[in-house]
Amino acid sequence: MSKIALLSNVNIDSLKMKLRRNNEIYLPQGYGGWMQEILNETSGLYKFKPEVVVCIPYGNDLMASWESEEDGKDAIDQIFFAFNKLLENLPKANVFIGTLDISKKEIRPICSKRREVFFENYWYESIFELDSERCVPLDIKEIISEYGRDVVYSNKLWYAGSMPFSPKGNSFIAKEINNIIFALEGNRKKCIALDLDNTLWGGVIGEDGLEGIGLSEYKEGARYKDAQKRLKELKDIGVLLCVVSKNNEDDAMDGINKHPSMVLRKDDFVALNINWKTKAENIQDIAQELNIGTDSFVFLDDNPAEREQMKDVLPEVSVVDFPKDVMDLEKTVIDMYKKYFYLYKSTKEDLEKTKMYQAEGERKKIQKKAVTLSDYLKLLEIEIDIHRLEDLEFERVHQLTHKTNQFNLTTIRYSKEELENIKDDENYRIYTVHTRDKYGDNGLVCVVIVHITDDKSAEVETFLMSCRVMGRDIEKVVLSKIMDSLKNDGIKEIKGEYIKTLKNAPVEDFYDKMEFECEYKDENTKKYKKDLSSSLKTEEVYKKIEFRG
Amino acid sequence: MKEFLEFIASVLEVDSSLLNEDSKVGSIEEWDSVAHLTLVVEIEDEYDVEIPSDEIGEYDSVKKLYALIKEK
Repeated sequence: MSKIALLSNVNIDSLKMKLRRNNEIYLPQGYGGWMQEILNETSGLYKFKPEVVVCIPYGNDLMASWESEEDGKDAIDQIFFAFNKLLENLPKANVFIGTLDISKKEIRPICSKRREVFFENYWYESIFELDSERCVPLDIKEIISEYGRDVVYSNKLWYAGSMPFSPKGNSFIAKEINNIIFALEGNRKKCIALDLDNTLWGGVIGEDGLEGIGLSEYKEGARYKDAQKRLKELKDIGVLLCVVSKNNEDDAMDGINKHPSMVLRKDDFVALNINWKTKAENIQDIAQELNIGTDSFVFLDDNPAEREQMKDVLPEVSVVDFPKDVMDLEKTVIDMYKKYFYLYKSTKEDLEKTKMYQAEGERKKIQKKAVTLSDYLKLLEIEIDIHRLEDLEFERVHQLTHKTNQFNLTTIRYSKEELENIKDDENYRIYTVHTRDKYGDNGLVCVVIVHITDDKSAEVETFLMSCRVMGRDIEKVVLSKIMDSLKNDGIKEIKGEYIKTLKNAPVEDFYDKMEFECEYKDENTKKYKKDLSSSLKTEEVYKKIEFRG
Repeated sequence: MKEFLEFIASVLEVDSSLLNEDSKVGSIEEWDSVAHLTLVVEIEDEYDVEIPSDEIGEYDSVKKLYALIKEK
């Protein structure tokens, strides 16, 4: 449920109809008053306090009053001046700006240069010049290119009600808006579980052999190859890929390693579970190995029986409808991206995710060898680097406050604006923690936000850690270093709080373990304090610990 | 009829229990004159009928719209 304000130069009442079931909608009264609505700071728009503002331009109506290219440029500049104001006036909201589509209606000779294209491009460039973290392009032009103006627009609704878009057009736009909101809320899934036969290639490798499977540069085999290319791009923006296939492992690995047209190779997958167990069991195994929930899996398989079984056994796994005709497989993957993995902006961690999870698998192996926890930690050769938030880390920290569920003591979801304020407030300290070990870099895995409440006391407002590095006592090292540093600054006492959520049971005893004293307790919260005169003891099992306070 | 009412409800994004055979434009808040335009176009698509632009206002009730799709 989001608070969405819709703005347009035309009537978009029917878009409101498509969005209102899942959102609270504000649409200004009257027709075409979007600029006044933005520029008048006491308008209904600002009283509504939207979380998302969606601006939908209808190009043909805008252009109708533009006499020349210069004229149009000025008009577009004015509109973007208003968008800029909108971003300023609503310092927390995300602003979606529709791309411009202008139908070529003016009657002109074939060889005359069309100004519509110029305006569309100028508008498009202007969106990116707004240069705000919160400005999101809403690609209406792309939707129209894909489905066609005959489908997306409706003459009947335009002439009867000044509504340019058809019901179908509105559905497409509404779907895109919902997808982007889903992505912004940090609800992305993490991993795609893929079948092999008739999903990544045509045919059955156990029967047709390496040469017999359908996978090639052109024609039928390219349907699978093109889909693989898109899957590889998903992997490159941080989506994990794994294989769950009923096959002889040797046959299947031959296909993956040796087929000349394979795009995805062994290293692109975080896990290859090729065996005769059920696919649900395999997904559970992989989830455990990678330390992620089964609810972060999306399952792609051509076999309807497998899909049904998955829905039955693991209803939290998202099962994709396989296309009726494989020629649509690539489009299915693109739709999966938009629905489950839409990414606004990538961070360094997103790009290296596959490697990090593969390393996790290696770690699990030595864990089995080690006798005690400290042996294991020594074998890992862990290095911990704790420091104050740096500008480049901002995006990642914001992302972590939104998606960390298990190891998150208070689960405060900060908006960018709030985090920005805290960053600049001298009574707050934001610490970030990076770890690496023998098997690779874990990246930024832990965030601690401390509020200095007065000269003598401080409070841990947020303490969260990525589940990738849980179980290595890193949290204890981090807390002890921060406590030492606070003590040096004259702070006498530190407080901490645990707020219960559906998912953070793993850390309910965190402060007890850290030797804090519980001073209040009810069903949902526990409040703790600790005198800083004594410090926390940590085990000496780490290769290196660095602290810059 | 029941199915038709459910279709109208889905277009208007309301619960079908709010509608009956006697409903028309204005009967419920969600079915205003603007929503009615969208509804007409959706009915045209779904039931393969055509309502000329000039006559949209005349087909303003469940009864009249239902008669039109039954005629087909």
